Amino acid sequence: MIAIDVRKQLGPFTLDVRFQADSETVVLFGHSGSGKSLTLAAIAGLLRPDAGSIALNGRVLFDVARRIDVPPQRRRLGYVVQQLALFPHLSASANIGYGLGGWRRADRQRRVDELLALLSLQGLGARVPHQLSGGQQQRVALARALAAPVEALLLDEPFSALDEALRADLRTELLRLRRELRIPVVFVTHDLREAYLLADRIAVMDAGAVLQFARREDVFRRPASRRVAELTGVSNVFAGHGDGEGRVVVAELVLRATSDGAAPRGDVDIAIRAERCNVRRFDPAGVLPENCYVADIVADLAFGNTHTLRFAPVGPGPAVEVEMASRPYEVLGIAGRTRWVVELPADDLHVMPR
Amino acid sequence: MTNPAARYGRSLTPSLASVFATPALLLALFVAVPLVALAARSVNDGEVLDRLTTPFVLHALRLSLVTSTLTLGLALVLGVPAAYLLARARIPGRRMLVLLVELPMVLPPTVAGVALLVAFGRRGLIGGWLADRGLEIPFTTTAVVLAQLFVATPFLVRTLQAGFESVDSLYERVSATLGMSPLRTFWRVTLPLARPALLSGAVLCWTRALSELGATLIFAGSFEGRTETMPLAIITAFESSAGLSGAVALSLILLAVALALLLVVRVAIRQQPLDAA
Amino acid sequence: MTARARWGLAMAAAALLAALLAACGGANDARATPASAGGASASSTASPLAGRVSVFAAASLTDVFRSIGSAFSKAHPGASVEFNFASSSALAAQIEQAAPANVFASADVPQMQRLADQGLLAESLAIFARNLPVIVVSADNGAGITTPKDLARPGLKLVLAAPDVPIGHYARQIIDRLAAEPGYGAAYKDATLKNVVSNEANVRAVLTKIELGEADAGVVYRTDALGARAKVKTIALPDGANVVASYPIAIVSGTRNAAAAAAFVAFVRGAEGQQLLQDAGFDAP
Repeated sequence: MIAIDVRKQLGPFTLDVRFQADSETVVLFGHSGSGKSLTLAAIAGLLRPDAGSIALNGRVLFDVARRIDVPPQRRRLGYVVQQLALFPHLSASANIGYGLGGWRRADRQRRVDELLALLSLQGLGARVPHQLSGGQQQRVALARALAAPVEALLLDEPFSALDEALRADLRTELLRLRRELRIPVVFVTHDLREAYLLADRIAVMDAGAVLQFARREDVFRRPASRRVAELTGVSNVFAGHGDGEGRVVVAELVLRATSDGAAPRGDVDIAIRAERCNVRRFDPAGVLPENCYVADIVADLAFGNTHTLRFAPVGPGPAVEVEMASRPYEVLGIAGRTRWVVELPADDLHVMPR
Repeated sequence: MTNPAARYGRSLTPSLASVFATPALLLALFVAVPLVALAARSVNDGEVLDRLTTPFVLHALRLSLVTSTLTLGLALVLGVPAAYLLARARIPGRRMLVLLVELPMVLPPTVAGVALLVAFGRRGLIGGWLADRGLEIPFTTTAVVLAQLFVATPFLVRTLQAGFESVDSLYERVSATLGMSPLRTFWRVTLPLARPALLSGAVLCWTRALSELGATLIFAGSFEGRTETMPLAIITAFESSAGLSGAVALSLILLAVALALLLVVRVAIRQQPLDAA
Repeated sequence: MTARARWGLAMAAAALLAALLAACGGANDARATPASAGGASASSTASPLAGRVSVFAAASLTDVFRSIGSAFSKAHPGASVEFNFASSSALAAQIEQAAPANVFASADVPQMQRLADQGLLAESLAIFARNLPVIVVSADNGAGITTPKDLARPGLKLVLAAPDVPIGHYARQIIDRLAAEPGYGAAYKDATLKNVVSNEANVRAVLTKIELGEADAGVVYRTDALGARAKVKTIALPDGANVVASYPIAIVSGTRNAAAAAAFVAFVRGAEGQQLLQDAGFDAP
């Protein structure tokens, strides 16, 4: 288990991070400059915080109060940097076995072969980094970080320089490894989908601070604030008013919100993800069910596999963005009509105090 | 991922090449003619081999080789750490230190000799103190090594410093996270990655030491077998009755030694395939 | 022809050119071509003397010849003198390599003879001054040297000029003669030569090392010791042991401004030049 609680001032930028992880994957998610890489560097021992502590499996790695600062070479962490930094003058095998300096030759060779096999790099051991493809280099970097017995794995946007197909491969690789490793993994990315795929828990970071640290489903469906919602790609955040009994009013439309239990009273922000909204046929003679209202499509953005529809209300209700997969889009016949009924399902509406 | 256009496209436009060719060839000729003339002259004279075996020449050659190699060794021991510190340490006054290191390079060698004499001569700043304890440096082979060290070390340090600066410190940090102590990181990552700079710096240092004349003459004097290195011997030969022929023969020998050093280094560098990225 | 082939041809041509130049240069003996062969035409007193005279003179003549040069220029306003001072052996070597010397003043005859044997002199040499070598020690005489015998003391630091430099040659002759003196012996020569720590390039370098106190003793000319009397002391030599330094002067062959060169030589050998030499401590020829 890794526990970090540190602060560092870097000019005008303040880093203030706090979270813990067991044998799970924590994804530090945020834009560039949010402090994700700095956090990793602090854990690795390459950055000295001004205050706080870092502990790994009960071992104190850093503690300002107790004047403890274990140097990076004794922290027993695996660290893969964004640039990979494979030693250009060493072969892949030599890179991987680099951290095994104290081992006997035979043992080291065996471990290196193990890792070459584990990461599908057989036969490439003798090559030097510039003779390897991007994906191969990435895997060598990963193998190198895992060679010595480490107590945690730190990955700083390790896949960002690769194209989509390779990223998908490596993510699968990592998922597979994760199951076997049973150590905390701290993964940094600015890609939301990647974050969700790999994470057990996500720490949403912004301007040096952790805005929310929760299970991935919670971060997705129950963002802690408007800012977190923005960062996690929630396109629909409405200003409204709650009555404290599970009902909110948004743009004169009364909605029932059940996802959070008792909804707060007073001024609130209501969030709902674009793909959670429902679109139904408009029947002028019909009665509107709960949480539904009439709206016209004002924009239809086609992305090939999905469509993003922008609705303007006819009567009460908010302007909303709905994401729809291509099949339902066709089946419903969206292209043919303008007026629809938008449903904001009660247990997808997330209410946040303002 | 290199740009394919850069790899397969044309690197030198023909028009530029033809404009630059003339001055380049002129330079090449200017360097080549004296060297070829030297070789041709000694072939004409036929004295070279005879002179090669005289004690005078053998002493000078041995002295030159021994002192310049000693100088190189000392320069490496002192210069490698210095170069690394200059490259990495962010200390106030770093600029001044760099200037200090560069100074012997721009100093005329005779000035260096005078300075060394003033410092380490029998009545010198430090030399006087040493002389009281029975240690006198001028006129000894030690003085030769000191003179060479003074003028040649900066070449090593500056070249190597640039080499270290070009090694991304990220490699060193990653090495630390892989469990290597700073010293082992230096040995296994930093130094190997700075290898070309180390080797070219060593060559510059070695050959500068080998060709050192002015400072040696003033500080160490000239005595066969003890302080008369090859460059000094060439002057002695030139001024003696042996005249130009003697000087030519010795010059050729020294030239051959220098060429040998150059070749050794070129071969050594080529053995290491380094990543250009 | 492809670009690469053209380059290859250019390289080969350059190499050939270099070799040819070298061969041509090597074939000739590097000597001044005697353009105006046969030396000095009779100096006509009608036309005033003009032009530059290039004088190569032994290092020990540095100060006195500068004075002579100024006096000469005053006497002959149109003419000027350029000096090159170094050890006589170095100067002789340079003249062998066709250095542009008009007049050569050496500190001994052998270096002048060396040029004469190669036909590089326009006329026969003439002795214009004499000098006496002396043993010098630094002013404080830290090593406590009182007689020439002390030079053989083990551990003593003796500085001489190189054997081809006149004063170096003279010094070794003196050591030979001392060895023959009563009370010295052959062992004296060996011991003394063992004490030589450096063969300096010229007499001034020897003098400097003594002035600085770097060496215990050295052999320079009396004129040098006089010039530096504040910083050095002289050790007397027994009469039979000393040698006399004879300074020859001659015009170098191929000198264009023969009239001016001859006039300079005449000046040196004439009344004014000789007075200046004697004032500096030189003896009459």
